[in-house]
Amino acid sequence: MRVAISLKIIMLAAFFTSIPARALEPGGTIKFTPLPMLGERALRSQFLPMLDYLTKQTKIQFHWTYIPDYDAVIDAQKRDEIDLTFLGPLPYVTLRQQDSAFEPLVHFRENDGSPNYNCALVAFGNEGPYRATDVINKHIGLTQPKSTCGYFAVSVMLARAGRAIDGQNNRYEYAGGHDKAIMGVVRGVYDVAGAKLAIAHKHARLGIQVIDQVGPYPGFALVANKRTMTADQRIAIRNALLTASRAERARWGDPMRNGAFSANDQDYEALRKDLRRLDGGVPEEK
Amino acid sequence: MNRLLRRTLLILLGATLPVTLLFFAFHTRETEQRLEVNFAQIEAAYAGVSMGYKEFADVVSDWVVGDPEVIDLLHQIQEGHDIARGLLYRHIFPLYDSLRTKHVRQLQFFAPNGRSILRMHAPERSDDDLSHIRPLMMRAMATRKPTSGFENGRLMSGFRFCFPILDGQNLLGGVEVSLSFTAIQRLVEREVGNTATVRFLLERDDLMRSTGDDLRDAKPLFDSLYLASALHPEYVTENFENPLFEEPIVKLPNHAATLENRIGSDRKVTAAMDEGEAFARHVCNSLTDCFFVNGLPIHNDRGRVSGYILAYSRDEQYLERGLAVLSAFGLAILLLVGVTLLGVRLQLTRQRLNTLSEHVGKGIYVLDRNGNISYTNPAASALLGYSQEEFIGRDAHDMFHAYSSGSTVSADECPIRCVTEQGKVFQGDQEVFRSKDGTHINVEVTASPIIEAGETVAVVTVFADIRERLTREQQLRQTDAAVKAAVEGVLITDTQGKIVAVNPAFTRLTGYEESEVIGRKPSLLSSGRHASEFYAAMWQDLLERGTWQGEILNRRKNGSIYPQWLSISAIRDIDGRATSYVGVFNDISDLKEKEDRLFYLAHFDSLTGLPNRRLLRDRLEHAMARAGREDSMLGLLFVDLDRFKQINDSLGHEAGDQLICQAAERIGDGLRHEDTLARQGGDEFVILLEGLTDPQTASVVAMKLIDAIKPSFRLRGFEDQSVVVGASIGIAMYPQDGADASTLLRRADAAMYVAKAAGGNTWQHSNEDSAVFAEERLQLESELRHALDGDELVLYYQPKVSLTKGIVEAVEALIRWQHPTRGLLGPDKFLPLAKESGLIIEIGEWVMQRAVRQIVSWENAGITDPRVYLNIDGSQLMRDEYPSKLLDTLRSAGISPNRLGIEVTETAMMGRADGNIAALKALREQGIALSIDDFGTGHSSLNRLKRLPIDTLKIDRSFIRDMVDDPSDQAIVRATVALAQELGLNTVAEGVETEAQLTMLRKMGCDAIQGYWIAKPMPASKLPAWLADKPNIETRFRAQTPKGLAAPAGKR
Repeated sequence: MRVAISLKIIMLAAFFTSIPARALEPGGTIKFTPLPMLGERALRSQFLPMLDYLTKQTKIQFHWTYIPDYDAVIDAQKRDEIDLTFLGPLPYVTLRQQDSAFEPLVHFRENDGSPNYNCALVAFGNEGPYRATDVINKHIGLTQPKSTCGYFAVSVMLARAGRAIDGQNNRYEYAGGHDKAIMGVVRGVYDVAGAKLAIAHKHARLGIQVIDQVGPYPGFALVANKRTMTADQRIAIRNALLTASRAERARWGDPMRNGAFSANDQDYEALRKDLRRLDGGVPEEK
Repeated sequence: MNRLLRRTLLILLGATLPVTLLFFAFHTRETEQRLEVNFAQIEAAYAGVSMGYKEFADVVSDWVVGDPEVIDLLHQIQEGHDIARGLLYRHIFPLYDSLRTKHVRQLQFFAPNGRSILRMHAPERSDDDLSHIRPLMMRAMATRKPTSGFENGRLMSGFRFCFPILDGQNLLGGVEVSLSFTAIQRLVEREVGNTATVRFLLERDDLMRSTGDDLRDAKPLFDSLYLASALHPEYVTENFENPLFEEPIVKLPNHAATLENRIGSDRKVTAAMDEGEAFARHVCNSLTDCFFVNGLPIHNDRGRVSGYILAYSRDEQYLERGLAVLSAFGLAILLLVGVTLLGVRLQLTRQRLNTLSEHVGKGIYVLDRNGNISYTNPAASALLGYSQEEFIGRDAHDMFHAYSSGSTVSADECPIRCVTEQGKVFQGDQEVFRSKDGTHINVEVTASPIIEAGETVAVVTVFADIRERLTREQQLRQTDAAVKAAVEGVLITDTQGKIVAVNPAFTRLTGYEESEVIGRKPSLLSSGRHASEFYAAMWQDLLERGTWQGEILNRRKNGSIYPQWLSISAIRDIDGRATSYVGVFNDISDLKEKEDRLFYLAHFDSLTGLPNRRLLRDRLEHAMARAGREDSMLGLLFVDLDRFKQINDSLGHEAGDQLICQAAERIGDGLRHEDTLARQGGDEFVILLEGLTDPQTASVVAMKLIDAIKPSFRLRGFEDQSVVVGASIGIAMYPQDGADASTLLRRADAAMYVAKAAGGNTWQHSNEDSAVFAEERLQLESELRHALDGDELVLYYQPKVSLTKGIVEAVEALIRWQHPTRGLLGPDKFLPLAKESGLIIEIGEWVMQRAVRQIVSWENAGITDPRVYLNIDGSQLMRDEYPSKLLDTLRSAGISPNRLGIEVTETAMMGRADGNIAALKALREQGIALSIDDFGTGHSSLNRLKRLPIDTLKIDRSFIRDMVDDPSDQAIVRATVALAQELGLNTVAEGVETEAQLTMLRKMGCDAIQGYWIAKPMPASKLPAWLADKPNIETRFRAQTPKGLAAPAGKR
């Protein structure tokens, strides 16, 4: 008996320890749809090299589907019409809140290699506002709907400062992206704007000041639908991404080329916590 | 000719080639010119666009460079105030934003050291050292003068306009305005035209150097941003599908890829690009898909080729130009060919003239303006006997013109000269030339003056020897006269069949005058008696063989139809084509009549007018064929008149002929119209009954015929005599008795003989027996002929003994046939056949010869007695030459006529014509004894009997045989003996076989007897021995002479 148990343990250990070292090739076809943060052409150039890599490694065929509407993507996920997608932290948390079948496989590192990112509230130079509490009667530039560093992060930061994104005579406007939001502040279109801290720092030489920040939040992740993807498929994809070489990643799009690390749902607790702080949550905006 | 043709073709080819090359070169040159124009357009467009943008950039730079706020902010940036950068961005952004709509991709500020101060297109990046990849900018700042040009960049290559920013003399930096290729491309395309496609090729290495990054890291990015160019391996194009370019994707036309692939394989293009030179090619995917492809090198500020502007412009008019050139080429070739052909033709004409002149059979001489010979052809030399050298320079008239119209004329009076001097053409055939050897040659002359500018510069005279022609004409005249004089009708038509000429005989024979038939067709003579097939066959023969002849019925003008013998021949020209047809015909009416007469004579019996055996056979064969088709029977009746021979012998041939005719008439009356009655010959008739269904029908006909023949005939000259004959009829049926005419006739004939053998006056159907009989008879006849030749006939001799003297007073020669298989045959076995077949004459001749020889033999043996009697057939006696022949035979043999006697039947003797009785008398007077044989069996006329020169009556054996017991026979014999005694004739009784007969005959006073009681007929060899036993004979007679018998009455 003892020997049998030992043997079993040994076998199990061997099995589990062997998993990372063994390339899984489960095959099959997976429907992949990214969030429509960019145009389809741009998204294809970003993701297709990575998907080709994954196909080679896992023998999984990826069926590309572009859905230009963010909500439609989420809905399609919930209807099991999409197996795998690329989500920012806020969209993931929102989705996971509605449907627990979704699981993050990997996070992608930021350009600086960090696994997380913060969101920043920026202003221009010495024109003020200098602090989040100064954001009263300001024109706020946001990245885009569903962006973590957009309404959500700015709301959190303003809420922490006792301010409201749409209160105290503040008004917000979606600029269409982090750079655009920041450059809107540079151009004087916005008084403040929300954007990734790293991007804000990049614009520091243009006079952009970070007056507040929030985070860290996990980076973008590949999110799998457990209902439609097998465990082998998820494992295989994760493993392949974790083991991709630098040279391989250099061919991928910008969000993915800095490397990936294993993700799990607990990584999003900080965001959930901040989200709970918002009474109204994040409005459904198009 | 072949040589001329070859030369012409060579010339044509030689001329065509440069013309072709010329047009090709023209077309090529035009294309090249258009290509040059296109290139110039591209170049101008590019320069214009570049210049336009330069001017535009100048304006922009003025705005920026001269802006104090910009100056101020640059100062602040240089002092390290980052916010100034942001403020500069803020300040310039509106301008930049509007510039982007003008395809300005980048607007960038530089520090004097080449570092980037502010990129309007990527504001987050700054302060990086671009000095090594922005030579234009660095030069601008260094020279403090604006610069512009093509320059590769890390992400964007294009046209850059660089302006230094000065604050007074202080260089604050520079500003760079960069245009994307797209902007330039579109503007160039617009300048050149809507059909142009403009692309930019970037030099790979130069571009890679411009990326400014580590090549290893930049390569993947580079590969995603730029695509290899098919034109040259060292050049790339921007991949606008990469979103980094932020350019709208303009799909390259399909033809561009094809063109680039083709141009890429063009070594000249590769070489030009290797050298950084411009190139221009005209490339066609098809005749209607051609392009001007121009490549303009773009130099960077260092003068190196950094790229190419590639422009494809569709050559819309290539095909049109080609067609135009082709048309022009075609016209030129046509013109060339035309000129060449004209030249060839002229040359040919000249050659032909020379050839004609040299080879024509006619003589040609040319006189110059002085009238002397300047040229002759070989024919002139051949005709006149002078060499060409002998001719030249001589006066033609003096040299060889002998006569004109039969007279000698002087040169001045020479008609040839006189006419041509007037500028006219002389033609005549009355001239006579004299050859070198003095021969006079009749010639036909045509002399034509050659007039130039109103003056006769030469005279060309052509002359031909017409002696043959004159001879032929003479012959033709003679032929014409012969035709006119011919007794046969002559008719000449053209190939259309219209009459063109006839001779007088035609008129005489047809009644038509020449004028009435000229132009008309010979069908006007048609009798209407011939079917169209006849004329068709005639024309077929004419067409195939060129001749036809035959008999034809034509109609005279008066409507009478007459037979012609017509011969038609085609008259052909030298090529064998028929040019006319000549018909020669005779009126053969007389000939036809004679033919008809001959036909009649050949096919009909002259006595009765009935078909003869030849015609019968023909009809029989046709009837057999018909019967075969109709599945009916034929009946063939062979009719032989019984006792005709006796009648003919007794009453003569004339009576016999009358009898034949009357019998034929009676027979014919009993037949149907469709039946055939033919006279076979003699007293034989053959009747052909057609369409029978039953052999009995033939029997009925036979029976009727026999009944018809039975009544007596009245013959002219023998009105007092009642001539009665019968008929023996043999019947053969088709197809039962034979399948061919010969068999049927033979079977019918055989059946007739059976009927005759049965006593006559009856009919007999052919059967196996009659067939056998016929076969045997035929066989026997053949054997008999052979017997005659093969010496199988022998004479036996039977003694006649005198009843009064008891001595042998004569012997009768009796013919026997020593048949090789049947043994000795008596005369009854073959003499009837001999009479039927006509062999009796030959047999009689043989008997005469043999008997005479035997007499000679006996005399040589010392046997001078008895007289030898020969049996003579009536047919022999009918021959006029028989008596003389007999006497000649005796004379030749040296035998006295007293040794010979002849026996003739009563009938034959009675039928002897009066004219011939004298001949018999002559024989008797010569000593030949004459006996009437078989007396009592014929028709004897006492009146005639008393006039006959006979010695003996031989009483027929039929009366002797039964005379002992038959009182009638006794009476006949007694009467005969008495008659003979009264007429002074002897009597001989035949067939005495018993003593009783002997006794009775003796008592009656018969003179002699013959019969088995005396002796059987014996061979000649045995007769001497029998005669030697004479005492025995006398003894027998004396023994037999009863007492009291009266001596016979004395003889006359």
